[in-house]
Amino acid sequence: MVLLEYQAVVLAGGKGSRMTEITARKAKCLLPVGNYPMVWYSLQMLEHFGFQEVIVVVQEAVKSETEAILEDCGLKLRLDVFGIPVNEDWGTADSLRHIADFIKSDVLVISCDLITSIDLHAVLNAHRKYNATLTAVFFPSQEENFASLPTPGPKSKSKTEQDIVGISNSTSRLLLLASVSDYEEVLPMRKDIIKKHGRIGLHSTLLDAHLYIMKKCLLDFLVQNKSISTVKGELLPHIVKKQFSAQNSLSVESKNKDQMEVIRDSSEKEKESKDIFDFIHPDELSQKIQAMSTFNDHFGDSKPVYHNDILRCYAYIPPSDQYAVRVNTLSQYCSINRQIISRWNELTNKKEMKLISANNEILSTQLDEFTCAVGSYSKVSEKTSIKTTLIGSKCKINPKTRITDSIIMNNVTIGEGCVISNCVIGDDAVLEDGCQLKDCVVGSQHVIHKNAKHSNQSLMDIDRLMEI
Amino acid sequence: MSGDLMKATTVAVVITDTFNKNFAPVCSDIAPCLMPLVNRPLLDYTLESLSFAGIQEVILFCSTFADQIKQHVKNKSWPGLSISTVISEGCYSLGNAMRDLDAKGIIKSDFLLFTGAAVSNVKFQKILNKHKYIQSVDKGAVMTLILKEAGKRRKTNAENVILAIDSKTGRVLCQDKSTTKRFNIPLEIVLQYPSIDIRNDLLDTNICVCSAAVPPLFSDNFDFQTLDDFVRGLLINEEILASSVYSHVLLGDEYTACVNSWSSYQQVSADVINRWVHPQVPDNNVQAPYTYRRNNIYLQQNISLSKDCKLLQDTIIGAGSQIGNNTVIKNSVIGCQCKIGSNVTIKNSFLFDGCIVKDNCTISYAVLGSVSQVGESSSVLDGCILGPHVVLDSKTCVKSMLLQASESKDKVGSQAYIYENKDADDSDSDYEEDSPNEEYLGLCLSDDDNEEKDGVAGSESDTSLSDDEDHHAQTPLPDDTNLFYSEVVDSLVRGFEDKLLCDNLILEINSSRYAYNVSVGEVNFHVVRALLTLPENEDLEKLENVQKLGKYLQQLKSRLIYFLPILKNYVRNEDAQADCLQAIEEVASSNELFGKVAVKVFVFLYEKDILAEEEIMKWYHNLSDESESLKKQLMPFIKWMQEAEEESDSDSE
Repeated sequence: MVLLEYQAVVLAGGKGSRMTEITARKAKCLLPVGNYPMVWYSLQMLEHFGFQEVIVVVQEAVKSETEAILEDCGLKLRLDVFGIPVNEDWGTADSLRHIADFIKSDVLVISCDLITSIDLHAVLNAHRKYNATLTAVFFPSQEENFASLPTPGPKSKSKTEQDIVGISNSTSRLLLLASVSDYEEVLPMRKDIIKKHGRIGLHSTLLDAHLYIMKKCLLDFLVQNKSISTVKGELLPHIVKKQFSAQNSLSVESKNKDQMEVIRDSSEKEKESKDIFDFIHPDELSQKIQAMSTFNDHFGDSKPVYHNDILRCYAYIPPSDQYAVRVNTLSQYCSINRQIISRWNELTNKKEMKLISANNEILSTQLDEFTCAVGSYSKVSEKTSIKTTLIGSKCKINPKTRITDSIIMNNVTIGEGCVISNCVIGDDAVLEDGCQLKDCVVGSQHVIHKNAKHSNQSLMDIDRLMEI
Repeated sequence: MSGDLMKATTVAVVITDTFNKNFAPVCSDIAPCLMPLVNRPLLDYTLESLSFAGIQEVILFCSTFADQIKQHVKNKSWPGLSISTVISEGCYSLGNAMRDLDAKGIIKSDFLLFTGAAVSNVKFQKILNKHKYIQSVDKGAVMTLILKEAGKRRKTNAENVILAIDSKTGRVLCQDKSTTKRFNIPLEIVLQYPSIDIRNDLLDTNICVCSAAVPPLFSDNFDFQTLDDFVRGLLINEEILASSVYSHVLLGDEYTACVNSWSSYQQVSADVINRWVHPQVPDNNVQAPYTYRRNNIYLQQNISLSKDCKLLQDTIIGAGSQIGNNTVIKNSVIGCQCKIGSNVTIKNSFLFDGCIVKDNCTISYAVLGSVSQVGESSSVLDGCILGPHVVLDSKTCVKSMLLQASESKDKVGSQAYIYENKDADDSDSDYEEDSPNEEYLGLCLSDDDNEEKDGVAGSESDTSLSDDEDHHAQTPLPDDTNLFYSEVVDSLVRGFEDKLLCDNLILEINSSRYAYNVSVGEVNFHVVRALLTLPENEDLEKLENVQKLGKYLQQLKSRLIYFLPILKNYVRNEDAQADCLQAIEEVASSNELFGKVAVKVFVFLYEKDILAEEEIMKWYHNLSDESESLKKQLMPFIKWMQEAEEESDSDSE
């Protein structure tokens, strides 16, 4: 097998703990977004940018289901789907460790909840340009976009986790990554770092896209350090901080090399090193290039390129016309579903949009074909009015029903004379005749009884909620 | 709106004094702003800069050497500038100057705050317009600092500043000039602004655009002495003063610099010679033009250069100078009518007008004041500064010395004495901060690699912020503390003379405390120390020993009684008592008179319940052998206290 420059991994094993209302019975990566499972968007993007093989990590329980669903989506990628145990609370770093044996080169890691129109080539080029150890993508927060309609379900004050990101203005080096909650009143910054880089941009509204490009050595490091469980929360801050360690120097590296080899010979088996610098060994070629090239990433002092650092983290911020959203809360999930049809072309690189499948039985004359999507084998009866709504497959919608701004998943039955606006209705739910729902979430398999009226509620079987 | 902007005259206020003694002893008889820089008075650069920038009205604010400056300005014509002079004698800081301007009510619009020693080629009009625009958006905007990108060049401590600037508006959010290892930004600020620039690559040009509201702000805040105080005060008390500071970063080809120390003098000289300040270059000087030659060599008329002398590079020679055989000159400025002998090497030095350097001398990194003379085979090295008229004998070698012509304790040559700062204790000026000793010419290239290594090592234990404190403990006495101490002394002297209320004095001391960021322990220590060492009345000197002591005690007692509320306010708990005792010990060891009456002070403080028995005992037992005499003196008092204790113990039984 030819060694690829980058391997791609899609981390889709998340449980959707920030939107339990709809992930109780359905894996997050399979939630429908515009009638495609969420994970499909990452995969089609990778396909578009020329990847041929992708490793997908999902929960063991939904492995076969995922494989089956993705097969139907018409991707040309070769997918290797790996399962992770459901009951053990595995983080993203654990997932990566799980598949580390299959990673032979540098790796591109994407979370399945990222839906974006980012130019992946630009990210990869940024990574190549600086010969970075790690490149992380950040995008400006777009919260103002989904303020138009309330989020279904009980009103809650959603407190978003805010990061503080420090990026060198001239070199894009990622110099600080921390959560706001790590600090109390002041944010202390080391002056020698400020001095070294001259100018640091401190951002509090950037969101981590969970799209990382990592050198293979980071995975080796992960395999050795089993205590690290998440990429964002533990690995990244650690690596970013380690950039300022005294060991982070090319000269130290070469000086210690001889000694290191001696040590290695003597206690090769004993030694189970845990430090990141034991894993980073810049290859000879790039060292020589670095020594002979006149390129320098900074000016104003006479220090060599990259200040001789061997561990370098970079941040990539896409141009403002590229869209990115992380679908990890209910409000974002609803938001992306409202926007998906208008943003279809930019998000899927002009893939053919199959809004209304062929195997439908649509008798309604008031189904807005430009703002609605209907999955296969669904039946929409006559005298119904449906606007800006996504309807999954095998659904049945009876006459005299009005539906607006809603998401209806698979195999849902909606009775006669219902009025539904701004709702999310889970798989296999049944809404009996005359229901009126406004701003509600209906859990899967839940039954709403005749003529019920609800607004701003999460409607689901209690025991199912308890499962989480 | 824009029409109004065009019509309004643009005003620049030029503060001619530097309010420090950085240029001593060269400036002992000449105003610092009239000192030549590349053979031209600094003030000429300043005024030409202003004229070039399209400024119409200039207000020259003079305190020292006012007549000299006035005369100088009168003798030349400045097309396009209407210059008026404001004289305020006894003004010793920028804060005073601004307060004076406020009192005189001269400022009515935005103005450019300039110093008399600035060199610039910036069109300030657009920065003034930008300031106007910012004011229309933010009513509280009072000042726009003008900053220049300086890369990562080495900076002196005074220059080294870290700024947090809102990247959208350019508003200054935080400023840090301290030498701690961490830059602390309030989290509130980080969250309030989506994107903040943390910058350490900027150099303060000491020039800024001010609103008319700036002088009144100085008046309202009597503790603002320097521009730094002002910016810091505004940032800290943002809510109270409701004022904000903005920043403007100059573009690459715009040059502005301020000469306020020898190191900046050297830097700016090099910049002028290397033509960064175009059009202000020597060959553009209309009155006394220079010819410009290869390798940045500028020569004026009537120069006699011997055949074998070598002018290597970046050198300028004034009219009527003579250079002898085999002499090598590099990176130097030679004034007018200088006589340089044969076989002389001059490198990186500045010779003012009329200097005489005899044969076989070496001059490197030195400043030779006007009409100074260096004898044969001498060397003047490493940051020597010779005042005017200094004569160095032949075969002398001086290194890193400040020399003056008038007599002082240490003699070096027939007319060369080591300069001593007459008012070293006068810490109102920034003298201690920018002592010339620290900032020798070119010597500010201290090797800070060690520091970096320290920082790196510190990273491993990233949580240990305490190393900052350790760092402080090692330094002998931070400058701020010294300044604080002298402020306290000033306050107390004034308070005692004018019989001010102690409450007001406490307020004053507290505000100094915040201004200089002094810890509580230090406050206690220094307040007590200041109280006990207030200068005595002069008539004391005349008295005989015994009488003198009596009189001294009397004075001390009356002072202590007067300041009792202050003592009560500061010496509150056990820690404070320990600080107080420490202070008494220090004063006793340094002041002979006080040493003799210390026990009376103890009794007094004990009676007034300021010092508790236990604390005195604890301190007494820890007293080192060095303060033997104090120990001896205290013996009876301690004994008496112990007995009293036993008595009371037995009483209670």
